[in-house]
Formats: sequence, structure tokens, C-alpha cells
Amino acid sequence: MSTQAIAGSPAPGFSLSMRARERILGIASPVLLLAVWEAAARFHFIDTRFFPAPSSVIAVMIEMLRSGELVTNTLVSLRRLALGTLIGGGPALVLGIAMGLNRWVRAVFDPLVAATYPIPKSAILPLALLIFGLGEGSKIFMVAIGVFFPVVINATTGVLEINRIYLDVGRNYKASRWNTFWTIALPGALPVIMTGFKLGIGIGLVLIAIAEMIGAKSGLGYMIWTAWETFSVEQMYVGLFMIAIIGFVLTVLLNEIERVIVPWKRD
Amino acid sequence: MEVLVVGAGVVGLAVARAAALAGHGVTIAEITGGIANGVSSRNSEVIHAGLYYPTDTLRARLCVRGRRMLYDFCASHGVGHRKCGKLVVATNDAELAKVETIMAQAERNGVEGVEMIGGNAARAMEAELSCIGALWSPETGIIDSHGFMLALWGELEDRGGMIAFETPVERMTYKAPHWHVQFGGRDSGVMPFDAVVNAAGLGAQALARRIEGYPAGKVPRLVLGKGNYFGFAGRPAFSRLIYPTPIDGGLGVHVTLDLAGRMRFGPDVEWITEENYAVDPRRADSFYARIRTYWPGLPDGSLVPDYCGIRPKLSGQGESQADFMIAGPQAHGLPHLVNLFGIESPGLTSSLALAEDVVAYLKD
Repeated sequence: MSTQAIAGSPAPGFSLSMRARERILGIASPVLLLAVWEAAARFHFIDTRFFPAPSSVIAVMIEMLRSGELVTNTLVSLRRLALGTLIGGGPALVLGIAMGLNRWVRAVFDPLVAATYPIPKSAILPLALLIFGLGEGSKIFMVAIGVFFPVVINATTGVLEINRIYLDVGRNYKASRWNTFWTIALPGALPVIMTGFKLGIGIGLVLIAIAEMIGAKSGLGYMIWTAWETFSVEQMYVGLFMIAIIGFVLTVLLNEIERVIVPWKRD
Repeated sequence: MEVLVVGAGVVGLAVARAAALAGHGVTIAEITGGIANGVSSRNSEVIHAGLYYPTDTLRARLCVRGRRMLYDFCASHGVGHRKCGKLVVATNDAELAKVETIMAQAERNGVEGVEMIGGNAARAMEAELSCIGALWSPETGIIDSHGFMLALWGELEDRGGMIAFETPVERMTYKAPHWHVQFGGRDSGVMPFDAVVNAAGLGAQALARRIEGYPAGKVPRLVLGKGNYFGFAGRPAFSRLIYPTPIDGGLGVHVTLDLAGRMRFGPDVEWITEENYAVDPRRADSFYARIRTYWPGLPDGSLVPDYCGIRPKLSGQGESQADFMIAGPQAHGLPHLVNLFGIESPGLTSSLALAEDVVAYLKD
């Protein structure tokens, strides 16, 4: 009787409330953490020299917003991130797809990618400073190198995983190289390529923070570093919060972009 | 034990996954740069019910069992599929008699839900259809075969298995207790394995000949049965798969649908001697007449060349259809070696059941 109905697929109302509950938990957990942190700081359970209360961090944040310091540094970092993504991601996209489509291109570049990929990108920073100097070049280069590898690897994999018959049909219609690239390989590999960009921009964000700590006069990394030098712990936390917020917003943004340009991919 | 599977098509992937689930260490050696670059990606993507195949053949048993396993797998792994059903249509009395024998065969094979329906009942299901009677098979469906293979690959890697791409097998020698396998390609070298499964599809016979001590007389001949598909430029006229009464050599040019709802026709049978994947647009001419026997409404100029596949057949033109061949140690005398020959249709449907049987062989 009714046990049968319960054992079957859950009623839509039940699954909806599950989703709502998940969403509430997702918002509640960071809020709860902040509340506990605030309380712990107020009652001196933690050393406020290292872990200042969230309320005092927010006060410093508002102060820095008002002076324009935070906005300027954030925009500088974002600009470097965007340029680096473009400069690293563009060639990576073309090379990755070419590697997926042509086994000779793959034979030439695969060993190079495999050999250089494991080098910690942060270890390249001194070299980048040497080549590009202390200016914008070295910062943008660091992001570019961080974005390049995940995109090239994912683009190659994405093309190699394309259902074979799509390429066959292209060949049957005598599709040109450009048509094969533009109408089959790129859209076919796009879901995997998007994953590459998501990973790459995440790595780029890490690298830009590191690069700005050394030999920079602006940016969030520079801001965190000067906060350390002047022992302005709250300011340091503002920088960290800002990077966390950028990471979160970029993830949401990339998911939205993916939804628009890869509409056939379902979760 | 350490198992080598040669070929990352649907059969190789299914065997490798089953072996990994059984606790074996598994490596797939694949000659191309990706999975499913041969027979596995060039077919109708139909989940066959198991109607036609003679009783007690591997094709009959594995297709029916494999189909049930495949639907379960799709449901549990989120692989795109649709149980759309299929009509085998008869357009005259001679064909009707033939469809009735298929019906009897389907029942002997244990296919669920099959029934004979009249012409009006068939037209009530598919208004554009012209026929005097039909066999209705509700268990037939379509599958996102590429998604299925990606799921198999994922599960294989979850269990610690791996695929070595662009890795041809050049030679194999058995020196107790191991198979010493010589790989070519960029990372060439010799590696030992406890057991080997040959799931190389169109290359299975050539690989068997490179196995030292493998009796040459036990390598069956390979017959290439190319099948061409033509796409339909327009709104699909049917929502179920429509098959004509089978002709000698194949199931006849039928209506297949993909999960996007696109309709295409094929495959025909073209006997070839060398692998090639070009579709000759002139072959469309013979398609029009054959399709119009059951769909008179097919407009002129609506068929466009699509893709083609090659069936790794063991029987040629005018011969009776050969069964799948699972050549284990009893067949060829070499231990821990299974060769799979002639795995054509319904290989995709049978893959999961076939994999179970092959893994059972490995224990010997």
C-alpha cells in the first residue's frame, strides 16, 4: 500500500525542499563561521593580533574602499588576470585543438608540454622578472603561463574525445581545415576546454598574488605584502577576503558563460 | 592478476571495466589517440532487443542479457538513452510471413513484450507509415554510445585501470607464467602481463597473427561490411525506429533516430576490401526506392550523405550470418588469452554481458 509509494521515486515537493535546505546550509555555514570567529575574538579566545574580529576587518575594508586604495589595487590585479588569461589562453586554445586534430602536431608538442607542465609555475617568477622586468610584463606572463597549461591539455583531450563520426561527416563534406576547427573541433571540445579555463584562471589568481608580492607597486598581492611589512593585520585580511571574493565571482561568472556557450551540456 | 586489453572500443572498455571490478589490475593498449575511434563510434547507436538471432547463438544470448544490463547501467550512471521501441514492418504477404518467423524467434530468445500488430495499429503509432502488418518491439531503444563509453572509461580509472593511447601491440610471446608484450609507438618496450584480451575490432585478426605460437588456422578471415548512413534534411517523420523486413546480408535500410531527435537512414551493406570512411553520395539513389516501400512520403532530394561504419564480419556476401567468436584457451591452446573476433552488431548492446563472459574466461 502506501509503503510502495514511499519506496518509489520521491515526490517533487520533497526534492525541492532538499534543494532549498542545501541552499540554506550553503549560506548558513560561512555566516556561522564568521559569528563564531567574531565571538571568539570579542571574548579573547583567540589572539586578535593574528585573528582580528571580522567586524574590525570590515571596518578597515570600508575605510580602504572610501580611500580608493582597495578598488585601485583590485582593478590592477583583475586587469593583469584578464590580459594574462587572453595571452595565455588564446594560443593554448589553438595549439591544443591542433594537437587534438593532428597526430604530427601532437607528436611534436606533447613531449614539450609534458616536460614543462610539472615545473612549479611560481618557480619561474625570478626568470620572468629577469626577462620582463619589474613592470606589467612579468605579472601578465605569470598568469599567462598558469592559464596556458590547463587549457592546452584540456583542449587536446577535448578534441580527442569528440565522437569520431562528427569528424567523419566533416571529411565526407570535404570540410576545410578552418571549417573543421571552427564547426566541429571547437564546439565539440568546448565543455572540456571550459574546464581548462576554470582551472587555469584559478591557478592564474594564485600566481598573480605571488607575482605582485615581489617587485610590484600595486595589486592585491602588493597590498597584502605591504600589510605584512607594516603589520596591518586587518588590511592583510581585507586583501585575502578580496581574493576569495574574486575567485567566487569568477567561478559563478564562468559557470554562467558556460551555460550560454555550451547549452547542450547538462549537469 | 595484471590484465592487458587491446583496443579501447566499447568491447575493450567494457571488458577492462569488468576485469577491474573483479579486482584485476587492468591496462588498455589503444593504437589511436582516443577511445572509440573505430567500429564503436560508427553505428546506429541502437539498443537491440535481440529479435533476429538464432536460438543458442552467442548473439542471441549476449544481446538479450546485455540489453537488460545496458538499460540498468544507463539508469545508474546517467547515460543518455531512450526506450523508443521499434517496428519491423511488412509491406506484402511474403514479408508478413517473414516477420512472423522473426516474431517466433524473438519469443524463443526471451525478448519481452513483442507482439504482431495490424497495418492500422501500426499507422496509429506512426501516421506516415505504409504497411500491412508489423512486429512491435517495445524494448528496443537508442543510446548516447559515446557517453556510455566515457562512463565505462571513468569507472575503469576509478578502479585503478588505465588506457595507454597511441600504443600499438607489435608482438606477444608466452613464457610461463607471463605474456611478454612488445609495444610500439613513442614509449616502446616489453612488458609482462598475466592475461591478454584481444578486443581490437577490425584489427583483431592482424593482432592474432602477431601472437607467437598462435595456430594460423584458428584465425578466422575478416570480411569488411561497410554500412553507409544518409541523414534526412527535415523534420523527422517518425518517433520510433522503423525497420523493413530483413534482406539477405543485413537488416535492411531502416530509420534510426539519435537522442537529439534527428532522423537518418541506413546502414546499407557495401562489401569492401580496404578500410575507408567516405560516403559515396550516389548510393542515395538506391536508398530512395527502398525507403519508399514503407514511407511513400519521402521527398526527393531530402537525403544527404552522413557517416559510415565498417562491420568486422566473419561471413561474406550470400553466406549465412556468422556468430560472435570468443576464442579462449580451449580454442587455441594458449593460456590466459582471449581473442574476440567478428563482434559486429549487436556488439554495442551485448558489450556488458560479453565482458562478464570474457572475465570468467580469464580465471582459467
